Amino acid sequence: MSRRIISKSLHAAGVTSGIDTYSDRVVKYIPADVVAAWATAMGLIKAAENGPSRPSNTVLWVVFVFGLFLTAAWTWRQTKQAGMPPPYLQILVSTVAFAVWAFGLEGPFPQWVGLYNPVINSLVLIGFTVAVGLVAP
Amino acid sequence: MQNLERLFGFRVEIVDSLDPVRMEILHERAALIVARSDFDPEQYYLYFHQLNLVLNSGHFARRFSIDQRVSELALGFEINPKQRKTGTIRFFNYLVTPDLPDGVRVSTGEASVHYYLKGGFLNDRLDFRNELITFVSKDIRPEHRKIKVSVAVTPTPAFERHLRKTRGETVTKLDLRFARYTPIKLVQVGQDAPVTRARTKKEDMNRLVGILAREAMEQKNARDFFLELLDPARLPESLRSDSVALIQGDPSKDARRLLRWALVKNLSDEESDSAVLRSILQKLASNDDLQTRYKIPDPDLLLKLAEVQKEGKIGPTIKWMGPLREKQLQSFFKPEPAYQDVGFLMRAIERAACVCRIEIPSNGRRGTGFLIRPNLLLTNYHVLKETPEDDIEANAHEAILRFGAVTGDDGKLLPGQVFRLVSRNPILKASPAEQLDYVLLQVEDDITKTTKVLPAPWDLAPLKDRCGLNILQHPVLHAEDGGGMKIAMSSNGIVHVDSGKGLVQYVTRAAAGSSGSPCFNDQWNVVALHHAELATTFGSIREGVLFSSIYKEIASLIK
Repeated sequence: MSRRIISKSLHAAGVTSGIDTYSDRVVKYIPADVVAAWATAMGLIKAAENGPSRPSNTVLWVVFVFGLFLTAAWTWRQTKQAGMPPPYLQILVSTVAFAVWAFGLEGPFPQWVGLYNPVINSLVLIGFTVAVGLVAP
Repeated sequence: MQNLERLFGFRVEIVDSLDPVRMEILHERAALIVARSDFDPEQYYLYFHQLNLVLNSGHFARRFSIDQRVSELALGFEINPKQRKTGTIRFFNYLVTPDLPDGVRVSTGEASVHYYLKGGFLNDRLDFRNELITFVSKDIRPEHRKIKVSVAVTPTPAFERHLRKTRGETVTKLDLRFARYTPIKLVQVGQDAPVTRARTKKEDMNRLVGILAREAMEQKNARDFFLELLDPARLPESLRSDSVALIQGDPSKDARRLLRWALVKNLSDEESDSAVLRSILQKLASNDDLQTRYKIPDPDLLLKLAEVQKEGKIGPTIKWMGPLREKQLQSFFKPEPAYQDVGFLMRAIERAACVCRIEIPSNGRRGTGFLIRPNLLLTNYHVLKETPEDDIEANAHEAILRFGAVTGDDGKLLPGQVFRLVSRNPILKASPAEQLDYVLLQVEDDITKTTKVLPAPWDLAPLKDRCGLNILQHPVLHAEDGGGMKIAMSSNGIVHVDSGKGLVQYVTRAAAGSSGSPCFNDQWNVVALHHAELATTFGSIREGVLFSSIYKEIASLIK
């Protein structure tokens, strides 16, 4: 199954699959693979904080920014289709989805005094995930 | 282990695998219930269960008989009141015959029935078994197909002294779940089964002789017993004297002689003769051994059961509200169809003559097309070429145009009339899928010779939002769908018209296989060519190409 969101389906039987529904779009927008990589990397970095070589929070920021680029590039690659323009909206939404999930999983954001609240970031994560499926490119 | 088994040395067991003989008898009873009731058996599953009390021979209480252990056993069946009220579960219990035997009381509640069995009653029936017949509506979800069964046992005062800790009543509750249903055979009660003659087996003869001889020996006068057997036959005097000569004083031999004579008389196929055997067998019909072995339903019991069933004395009171109420309930889920103008539908049927299913066998692709001139067919470009690998010319040569592919009386797809495109230059004009997505095709000349296929008229007037849009199409709705022609109508289906791009969007239903379908206005003139489905924030809409836009490109060819 292509990760490209199908929002227009020509109606000849036996060629294309149908359009993606709300739940299909939620699955395709959230870059679960990059988020999983981020969660693993973050766990390793946080664990190393108690070791002899304590990485600074900057490392987390670097990894986060790298994750943003990785999401955009990875989504572009996975949605590439011959004869079709890149799905810019999907790439953008997936990149934002990565940022929201990274925010939801704590990441480097606790350093933002006054802007970071575990309850709020959980609510943002839930709200974004629910709403993202409504975006039909 | 159930408390019952621990304390009283027996347990309750509910089984749904009955021996074939009991199944057959229960089936006849079920058929009688169906015949005497007004519910539709097609809407129900039929379940047979047997509730058994199984003795534990190793229990400490084995030295006590059942009536020494049990003062009273209360057997309760409870149906969900809602299911009882709607008649979705119809439950019949054959524990108790219409005339309640000694030692049994029954109490019927709104949605429950309780039987109170004295210990003595159980003791007399060590092979106690309670057979249940239940009709369960097919509408009930599997997890709700159950009845609650409770077995409460009150010990005798003498036995209670042996139960050191537990005092008073012991209750075991079970769910009687309906899993293995039996197909309902609709036996026509009251209609004679076809009579077939079978050779009498030696063992059957011996069995009958044994029963007759045993019964004769229990009488004061065995000779009178045999003669009375033949009374119902009202034999002529000659035959009567024949039979008297057969009875010589030895019950066993007399019984065999009488049966052989009756069989011979029966085979002569005269009415009075067949009455001989019938007369004997009627007498034996109530014999328990024969009833079980030869599946003879007890006629008296059946009649009584029917009467009791009519009076609603068996099982909890269930008032069947009848199919009318069922239809009323269904109407909550199925919207009432709007009135349809028959003339409107007749014009739709007329237009169906222009629509064909397009099949390309080599790649399994299917679409729809329609005639706009006697030999010119319009469909979507992507029906013939959707992927870069597609060869539009090859697909056009291969295309099968099937007109009149509708379902017949038996629900199967009719083959319709098949035509092909002309072999030379089949594509007259085309526009790729990204533009107007149409292709104008030339059909072989044979199509002009048939009167069943007619071209559709068109309308070039601008479309407006909220106007009607109707589609005749060949969608493939699911894997088993043969792709017969279907109609989707909407009296206000158009949601957006973009004359600049030559597109119209609507909510009228269409599916894969509908590409190339004609979209008609309410006058059944073609206004658009259906081609795609688009996802929206909530749900989806369909999209077609305005015929007025296509017309600008093909006008010179179709005038």
